[in-house]
Amino acid sequence: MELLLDVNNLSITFKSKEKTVHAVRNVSFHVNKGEVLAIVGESGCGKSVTAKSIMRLLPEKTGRIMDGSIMFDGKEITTMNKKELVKYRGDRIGMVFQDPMSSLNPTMTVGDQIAEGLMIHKGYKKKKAREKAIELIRQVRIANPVHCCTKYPHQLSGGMRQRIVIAMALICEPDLLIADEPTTALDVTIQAEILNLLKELQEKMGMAIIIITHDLGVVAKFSDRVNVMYAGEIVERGTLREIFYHPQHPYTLGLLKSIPKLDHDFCEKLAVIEGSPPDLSILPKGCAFSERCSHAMDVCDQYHPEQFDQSSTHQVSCWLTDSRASRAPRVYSITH
Amino acid sequence: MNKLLEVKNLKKYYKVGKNQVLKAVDNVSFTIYQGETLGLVGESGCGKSTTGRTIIRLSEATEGEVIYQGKNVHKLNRKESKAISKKMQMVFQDPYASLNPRMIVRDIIAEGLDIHGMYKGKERNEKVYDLLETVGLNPMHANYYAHEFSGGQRQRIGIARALSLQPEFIIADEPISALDVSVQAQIVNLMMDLQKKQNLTYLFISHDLSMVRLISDRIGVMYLGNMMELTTSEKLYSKPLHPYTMALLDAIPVPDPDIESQKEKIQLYGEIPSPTNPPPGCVFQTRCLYAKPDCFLEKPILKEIEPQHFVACHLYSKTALRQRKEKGEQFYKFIDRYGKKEINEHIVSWEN
Repeated sequence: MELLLDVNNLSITFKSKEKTVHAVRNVSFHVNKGEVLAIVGESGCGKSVTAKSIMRLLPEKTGRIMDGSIMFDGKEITTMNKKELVKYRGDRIGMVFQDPMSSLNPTMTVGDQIAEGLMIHKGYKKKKAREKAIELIRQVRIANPVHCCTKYPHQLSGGMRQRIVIAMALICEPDLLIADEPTTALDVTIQAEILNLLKELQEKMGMAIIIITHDLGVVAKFSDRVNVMYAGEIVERGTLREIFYHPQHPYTLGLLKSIPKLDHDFCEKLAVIEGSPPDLSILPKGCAFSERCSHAMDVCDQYHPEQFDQSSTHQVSCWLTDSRASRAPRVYSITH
Repeated sequence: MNKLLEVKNLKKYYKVGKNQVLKAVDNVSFTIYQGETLGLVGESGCGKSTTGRTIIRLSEATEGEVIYQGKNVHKLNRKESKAISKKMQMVFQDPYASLNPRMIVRDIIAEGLDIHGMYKGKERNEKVYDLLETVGLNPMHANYYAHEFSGGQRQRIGIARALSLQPEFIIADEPISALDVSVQAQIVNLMMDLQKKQNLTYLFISHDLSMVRLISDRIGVMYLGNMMELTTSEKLYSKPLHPYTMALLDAIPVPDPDIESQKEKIQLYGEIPSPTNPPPGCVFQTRCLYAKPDCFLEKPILKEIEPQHFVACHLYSKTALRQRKEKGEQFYKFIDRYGKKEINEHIVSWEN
């Protein structure tokens, strides 16, 4: 497996007059060529901020990468100037945003918007770029692409718009596609179709995908490896099967338990993670999850958990997995 | 079981442009019994929210009746309708937009009490504290503004407001769709608790089929303003009859990699047709895998195929069922979604 993206000890803070929010803390992960990595977590856990930092899309005035490196194909992204960035952004890394309405320009036809990338990055002439755009619109399965090309975003439905956004991200055949909640705004039937489409295109083009979502169903359908984020940190990472069948972190377990499955007993209560995530402007001394954790020990409040290896692909940041924590109930070995 | 609410041939049309009519809700009928939860599901734009809003008279029905305990809600005078609004309350989808940002929580929750002149002064305060505790908030929160709360807490405030007049019937219009996964579970649990304690009846509108299954006793599936299938939640998930319901259930991604990788795809292609220009015959015919000539000509009516199982589909018309019986063939395959990973054969078939 060839390494494509390598993020090391990334820390991002947002500053305002009153406080400094540590949105992402010491996050490291990598993406190999051609694989799908899912980043899961609740809103506010820093998953979107991480994704945006890879594209260098953080608001310049307030958001700052404090520490760490983002290496894409051997080149450092965090220190690039604007000229160098253009070669990566939209060309080798594509991005699909959550809300298909606000990520399209309402004053341009969708055909022009898709073709724009080719004209900027690849130096295509307008006519040729348009032909390629039509080809791609056909690939994302929109009926009558020639006609669709001349339409404005408001004339299209939500599912169609999201397909256009995907086409836009794919036009330069990127090595890496970052999909930030690509289907959250859509209906289940459209969601299934868009996910199948993304998977198909990924296999055809051999690109890597980082999919950011809070929907574990989408993760199960789609990804090879999973990173679970909580309060700005990656608390657990592993392959798809490791995360779903052998979750080790109490947060991952809680997350898996709190989603209703179709074999859940009728009118039975759902397991709930009580409480809410901590305020990221005041950094907790120990584990950020300890307040909500039903297995919290004294050590959890005092010391930040180290990262423990479960296997070469499976890492957990939790004191319960320390060999000294023999008192800890082995609840987390339950497969569900 | 006592009938609490009866919706008869409800229609809600909107005029769009010059001569176009948007049929948001087209001839929908159903009954809600006392103490139960009726779920209403469907894709966006299928008319499920409009149905809820029309029942509570937030928008006037074009045609049809809503009968609440023997009274037609849409034909009441002002005094009577004020009295009935005490019994029927609503929880809205967006907890950010449905709370007045310029009012403190105390006044938001007590607004209904003030309108009906129910409690005053100290009693009013105590009632508010009571309600806050019921929904799992601290009485101290009464003096805060809505923006100081998280999404889940705001939805709790919305629920406390709906409960303030001690209603019998609550319409919850996508109460959890704006919330985080772990918070969704909290709110659904709260609503189930409250139902037991206060003997409430819910109309639970949602597009999240796995959540609806948890809370509902019966579920109605809507498509393009029409009710396609209505049955108990057990039957709907174990033995869906309408091709639309099957496809809808199949589209939910299951949070289990093994099941997900084995899933047989019953996929829906294409998009919902525009409600201003619905297709002739069955509204689902444009996306239906099993459409036959009848479906293009005649609109199927919602009929009781089995006890407590209503379906609007020509696949279950008398002739189709009889022909199936004569031929004794054609089984429809449907994956057992209860995690057993076997393929169940449905004893349902149709003429080719």
